[in-house]
Amino acid sequence: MEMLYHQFKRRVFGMAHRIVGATDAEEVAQEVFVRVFRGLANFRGDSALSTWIYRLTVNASLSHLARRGRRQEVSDENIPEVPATPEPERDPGLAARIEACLEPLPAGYRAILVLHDVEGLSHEECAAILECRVGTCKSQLHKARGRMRELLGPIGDRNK
Amino acid sequence: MSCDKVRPQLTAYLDGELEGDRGTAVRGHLRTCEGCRQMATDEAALRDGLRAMPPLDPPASLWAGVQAQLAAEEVAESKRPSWRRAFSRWAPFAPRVGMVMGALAAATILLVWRSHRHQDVASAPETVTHEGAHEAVTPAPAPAPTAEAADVSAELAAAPARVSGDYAQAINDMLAAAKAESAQWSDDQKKAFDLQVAELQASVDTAAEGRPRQKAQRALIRYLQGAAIRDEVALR
Amino acid sequence: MIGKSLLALCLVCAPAFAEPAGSGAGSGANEHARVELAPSGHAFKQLQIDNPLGDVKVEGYDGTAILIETHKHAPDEETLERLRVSLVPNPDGTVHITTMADKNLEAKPVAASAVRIDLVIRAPRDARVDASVASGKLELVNMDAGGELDSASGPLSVRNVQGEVVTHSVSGPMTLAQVFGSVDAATVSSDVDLDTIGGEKLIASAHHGRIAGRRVRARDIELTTTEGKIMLEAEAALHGHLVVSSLRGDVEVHLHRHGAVFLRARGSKVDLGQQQTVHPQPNGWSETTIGQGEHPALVELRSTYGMVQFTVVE
Repeated sequence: MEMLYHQFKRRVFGMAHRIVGATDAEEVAQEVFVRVFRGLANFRGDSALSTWIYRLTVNASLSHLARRGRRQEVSDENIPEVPATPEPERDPGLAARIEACLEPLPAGYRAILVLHDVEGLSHEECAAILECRVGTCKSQLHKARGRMRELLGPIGDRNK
Repeated sequence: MSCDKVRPQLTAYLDGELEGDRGTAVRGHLRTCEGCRQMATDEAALRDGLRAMPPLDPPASLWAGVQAQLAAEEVAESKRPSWRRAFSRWAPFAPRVGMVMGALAAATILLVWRSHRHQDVASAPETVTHEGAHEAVTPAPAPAPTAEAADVSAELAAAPARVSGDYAQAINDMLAAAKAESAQWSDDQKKAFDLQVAELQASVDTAAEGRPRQKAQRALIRYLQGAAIRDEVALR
Repeated sequence: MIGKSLLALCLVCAPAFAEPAGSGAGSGANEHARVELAPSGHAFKQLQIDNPLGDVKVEGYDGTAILIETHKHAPDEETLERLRVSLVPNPDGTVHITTMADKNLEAKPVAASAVRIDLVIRAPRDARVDASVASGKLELVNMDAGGELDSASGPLSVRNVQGEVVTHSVSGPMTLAQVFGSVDAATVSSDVDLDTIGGEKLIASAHHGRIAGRRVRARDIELTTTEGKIMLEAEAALHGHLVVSSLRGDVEVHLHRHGAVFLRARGSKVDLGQQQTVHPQPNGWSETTIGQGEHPALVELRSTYGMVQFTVVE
């Protein structure tokens, strides 16, 4: 049991952290592992074990957000404004800006960016975790990146 | 290709998922369109920034919290009457079991199944199995052929040739099967088959003993199976 | 270079780190050792393992180091000294782990079946694994970068693995469960058992063995046997191809259908279920289309001398 925990702890905690935020990540990760260990005996292998665990993680994170009420699923039209181009002297670096811009994203967009881009899972695995079609996943990823780009402002090298 | 056709494909293009003409078309548009090119540059930088985000280590208190919560739930569970425990375990799985029958009958079946599963899990504490049966139950490996004077180092040296011999036997079997099926082939098919077999056999003969030869032998076996079973004789 | 030599020496001198060697519970000499190999600069990308003397188990975990446990057994101390594990890391991130038995012309000959080296390896999950055994057991668990596994007569098991997975054996039974990606499994005279396979491609072949598959969801599936039965429960994917064929074995396929399926089948006896409207062709094939929609999955079932049975699971 402990071996399984250590095997998955980084990914579960990382996913939870980037979807629900630092404050509640440990609580959500704990909830996920408790569900994993309680449900393990009944796991029938309908998916890879990792897929099942990540699915639990995403669902627990999204449920937590919904319960917390701090962030509801919002449509593109009413995402709060975030300055597109921070002043250079206050720009803490791209990584930190990306972390900051994850938070205002709708939870669903956050989830697909974390699964595909941060954790490096394939479209097929993302689709299995999010229980949607691969095409839907790809489309969500495109929209999520688009929304994140708008929040971040120009980030690429303009001279390329 | 216009911008409003290119932009929806940018994510797939940047992730290398656009093949052939579509990728070429997007690439061609990006060369000439500053706006789309900036968008692609930004998205690539974003994607790389996301990929570079470091893994996060949970605090040490997480594992302690998990154990504490599991322990607390076990204590609470043990205080409930046994019939209520069985019922609550059955209820979420009723649709999966797919039976519409008495709650007690289903609970009995499920209790028996779960106790079997717990034994399987308990017997393999360090591995996660499902269904239990996948711990391979295999016959003991065949003992290596022994000769009074054979030493382990000599046996190891001779092993690759022995394996190649096994593969060679399979090739002979498949050749015979393919020949039997070839009665229905046209002359062209027979000729193509002979040529292909000769080529693959040459690869076997020239390959170094050991894994390279075995790989060539497996390729020949696959070809022979395709030919004998699916009439796939075309030259590759 | 010096570091590599030191590491190779480390394992040669393994007794220095090992639990005390001594007689096992029954007879003979045993030695257990543990080595941790930490990455210097580059992450470990690939493990190449060759162990003709026993079992290999490789299990993925979230760390960066490679942790190796070696368990040696021999009939006596003198023979135990001949058993070696070589560990060579390369700058490109590949690590070679090999077992061998030194030649010793002065010692009494010892049969291979009397000695054993078992390896239990924990490795970073994103390292690719190429491993081979002879009659021992070969297991790959919880890895994300696939690999190539080879066995002569030992059983081969792959569980919870992603990536491109290639497995081959002569007579060692194969079990693949929870594998996602691309799978190519080939055996001469043993069975192949597949459970929960997904991804782009699944190819499996057996000459004298059987193939059984459950919860198979790959887009392109090709199963072939010469003698043995093929039993498959699978899901048809849009644009997918499912080709199941045997020379003498029976073919039994249960298909979960999500869109249209174009089915053709041929055998000594063909049963496509009573619901299907079958169109016999002059060339001996029976064809039917099930469901409606564009881009049907193509399903082809064939047994030259055996029976073909097909059902749709709605």
